[in-house]
Amino acid sequence: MRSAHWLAFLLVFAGCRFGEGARAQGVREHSVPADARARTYLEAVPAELAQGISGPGGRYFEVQLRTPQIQGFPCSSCHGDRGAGSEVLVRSGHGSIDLIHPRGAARDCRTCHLPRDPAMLKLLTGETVTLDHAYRLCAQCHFAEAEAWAGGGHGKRVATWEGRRVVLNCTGCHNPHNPAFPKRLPRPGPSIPRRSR
Amino acid sequence: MKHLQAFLLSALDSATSGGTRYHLWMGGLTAVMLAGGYAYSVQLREGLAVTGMTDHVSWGLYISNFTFLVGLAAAAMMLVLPAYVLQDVDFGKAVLLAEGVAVAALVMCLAFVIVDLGNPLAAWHLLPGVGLLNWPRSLLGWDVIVLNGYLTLNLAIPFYILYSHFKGHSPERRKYLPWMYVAVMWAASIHLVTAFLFAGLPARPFWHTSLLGPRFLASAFTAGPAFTILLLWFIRTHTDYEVSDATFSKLGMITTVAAQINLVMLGSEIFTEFYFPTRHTLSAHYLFFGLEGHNRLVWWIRVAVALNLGATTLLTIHRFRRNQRWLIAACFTLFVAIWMEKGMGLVIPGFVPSPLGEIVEYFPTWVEYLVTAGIWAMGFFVLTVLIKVALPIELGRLRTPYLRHASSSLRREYGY
Amino acid sequence: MSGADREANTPLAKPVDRRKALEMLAGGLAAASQLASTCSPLSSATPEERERRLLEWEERLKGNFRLMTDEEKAETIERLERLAKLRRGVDVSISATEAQPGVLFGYAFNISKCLGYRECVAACIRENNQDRKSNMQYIRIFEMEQGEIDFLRADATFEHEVPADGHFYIGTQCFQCANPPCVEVCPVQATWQEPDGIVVIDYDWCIGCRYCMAACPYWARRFNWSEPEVPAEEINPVQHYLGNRLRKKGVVEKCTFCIQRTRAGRLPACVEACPTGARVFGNLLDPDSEIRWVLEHKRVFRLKEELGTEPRFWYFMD
Repeated sequence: MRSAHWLAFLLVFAGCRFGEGARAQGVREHSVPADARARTYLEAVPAELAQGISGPGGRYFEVQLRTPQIQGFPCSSCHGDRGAGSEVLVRSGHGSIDLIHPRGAARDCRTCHLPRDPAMLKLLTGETVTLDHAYRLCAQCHFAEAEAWAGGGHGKRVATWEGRRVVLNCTGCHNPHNPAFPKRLPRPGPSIPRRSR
Repeated sequence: MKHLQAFLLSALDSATSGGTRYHLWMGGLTAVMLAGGYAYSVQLREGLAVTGMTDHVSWGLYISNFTFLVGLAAAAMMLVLPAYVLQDVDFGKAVLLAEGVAVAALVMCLAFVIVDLGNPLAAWHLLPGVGLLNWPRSLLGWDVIVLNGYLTLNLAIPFYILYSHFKGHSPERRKYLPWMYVAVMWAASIHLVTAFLFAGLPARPFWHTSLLGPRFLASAFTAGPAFTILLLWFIRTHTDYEVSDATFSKLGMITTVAAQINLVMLGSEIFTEFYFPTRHTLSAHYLFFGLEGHNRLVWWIRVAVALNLGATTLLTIHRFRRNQRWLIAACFTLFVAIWMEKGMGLVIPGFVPSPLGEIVEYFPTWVEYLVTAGIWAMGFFVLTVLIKVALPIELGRLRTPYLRHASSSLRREYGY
Repeated sequence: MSGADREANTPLAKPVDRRKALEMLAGGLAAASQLASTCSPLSSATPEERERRLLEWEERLKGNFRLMTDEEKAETIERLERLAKLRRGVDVSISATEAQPGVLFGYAFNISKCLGYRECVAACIRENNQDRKSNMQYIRIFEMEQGEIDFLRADATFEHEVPADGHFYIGTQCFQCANPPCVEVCPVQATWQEPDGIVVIDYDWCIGCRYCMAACPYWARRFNWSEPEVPAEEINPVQHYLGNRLRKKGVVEKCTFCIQRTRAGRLPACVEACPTGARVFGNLLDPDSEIRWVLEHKRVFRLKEELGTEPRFWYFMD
């Protein structure tokens, strides 16, 4: 579902951005012929929403950006120039964050976020990266997943199977603070006819 | 041409005249056919949803009857072979009737296929040349060809013989004998093709066995002669058409041997299925014992096997087989037993469980029962008309009014 | 884009004699059926009704899709689009896009990832205009107990919260076999394999004998036991002749890897809808594709390999 929201957002964004006729087509699914729509889809991943990276073996692909997905980003949109200390994070309006990952002693905001600037992520090497490079943070532990993700065996590609390869960031599917998928009721199942009488 | 016109007119006349019981019989058949026609109109309007078939059990009563009747049609030639090729006179009387049975059975077969189609308006796609018949790849394509070819043969050969007699001639052996040979081959092929239609599906382990073809033949050569015996018995007791005891004796022997072979094969099949049960034998398990509480066919197949065993035992004992009453009873029982086994007992378990392990049982609906009854009535209707036309000709009562050489050939038999 | 596509929106070209004859025949039959069904003169029908009947009879007399010229394809598409408008009041656009050269579709399913949400099933139904009345579903998600892959003991009808403890999930649909038994058995060649590997059905050529359903070892084919029903507002108007166009009662249908999407470069609806990324789709002939990565880096298996059907649908685990 999250990816669907993201896609919708993406399409709206594409519509706003490109203006010329793409607007209505992209958002209202059922209004244009297949081929025109496919072109819209192929063009619907504007360069500004993805960043090119080189995966293992030098395979070039693009990753969806994280920051445009975050409501109220950048932090200064709420916090002004003061910045926000991680100590007050949970109490001051980020109460929805249910931090259960990683497990154990490392479960602390500062394990991943820079204490003085939570919009920056802190790698084990000491290097800091933006939220758009969340995959680099995740890959530090989940290296097998990261390799599969770069190759195509993990994660999701956006919209098309051909042309530019744009994939979702780790955070495109997983909640970084609670990455496991929740239990929930499934969508309606099959109706198997009278199994017996 | 005048002969042909006279033939058709007298045939019509003969078929429409008879006693009260005859008219009641034909009237009854017509009523059942009309009821079947009504049920079919419901099915045409609503779609096959009014049947008991589902995505899981996608063939039902219609294809079951089709399968059985192909066997009945094929068996007619079992009698033709000795009569015409081996020149055995005792069978001569039976042959025309058996061919009538074949024609009636084939008409029913084709009707059952048509009513089973979801999109019968597109049936013309099956016509070679006009449509796009998938031949030789599809076994159903083969079936279309062999069934229609067999129907043509079984219409043409008796027509030629009867028409010759009607004109007061003897039919010429060189004109029909080659076709007889063709027809004999063809008979075996129609039933084998129909068996292969099922046996060629690795998706359905229940059918995917090389024994299916031979078993089809064995059961057909049981049910076919058994039905012919019943028919001959009826004709002998209700008309003055003479059928010798020797004919019954030989037909009885054929039925018995075929029934025995059929049972041997059944035993072989049951051993393979149950000695070391695997996932591939679940359908057989469903059929004979039920599966997870789904046991709708268990009584059906057990009754069928019991009847089969009982009747075959009776026939195997000379004393009973040579007694007309027992013979008739055993033949009737066998016919019903094989209809049960080679129909529903063969087709339905192939679908249970589904290839993905879902167990859905099949419950025919009133539409299917009525349509099936209607088609059977149509078969008997056709058979009755054929016999009603053939018998007077064979008895020498029905002859062209333009007859010239009556004296020379009137009493002549077929010419062997 | 194919020729048929380009022509789909152009007016009919000059009729040839054979077609003219067919049209006249269709007209006659339409009039006859009108008379038979209403016992009233043709003139009392509304122009729309008359047009619909004429189009319906022309449709019934058309040939197999594979034997049609581009012109004939354009004509039948125009008729079908018009019929959708006349019958359902919806504007649909039917494409006949052909397979791209150098493309062979493959699919991989990660049984470690699937959690049984059935988002794919819901998306598939909407995308492919499946009959809502009979709740037709191409995709089956089986809930299996850990320790075995046994479809007999699996349950596809689960309605509890998923993922259930001690269970895993495995999805099936049409596997677009490289050696499809269903194609082999069709008596009228109404189903065949396209160059990009998709096994398709010409719904208008299918006679509804259901032999293909008996032949499929994966139970992938579905039959329209009654007239399919899709609410007009839910109809997906972006259609393909061999894909999700509106079906009729009495014909067989199945998953086509969303041919209307994939031929246009898009991912199938199930892949797009899967929230866990359990579904991988791509071009088997492209060494850089995701599907190739999975085949080269994961241990994969297919269902019922022993049958030799060569599905283009693999299962793998993390």
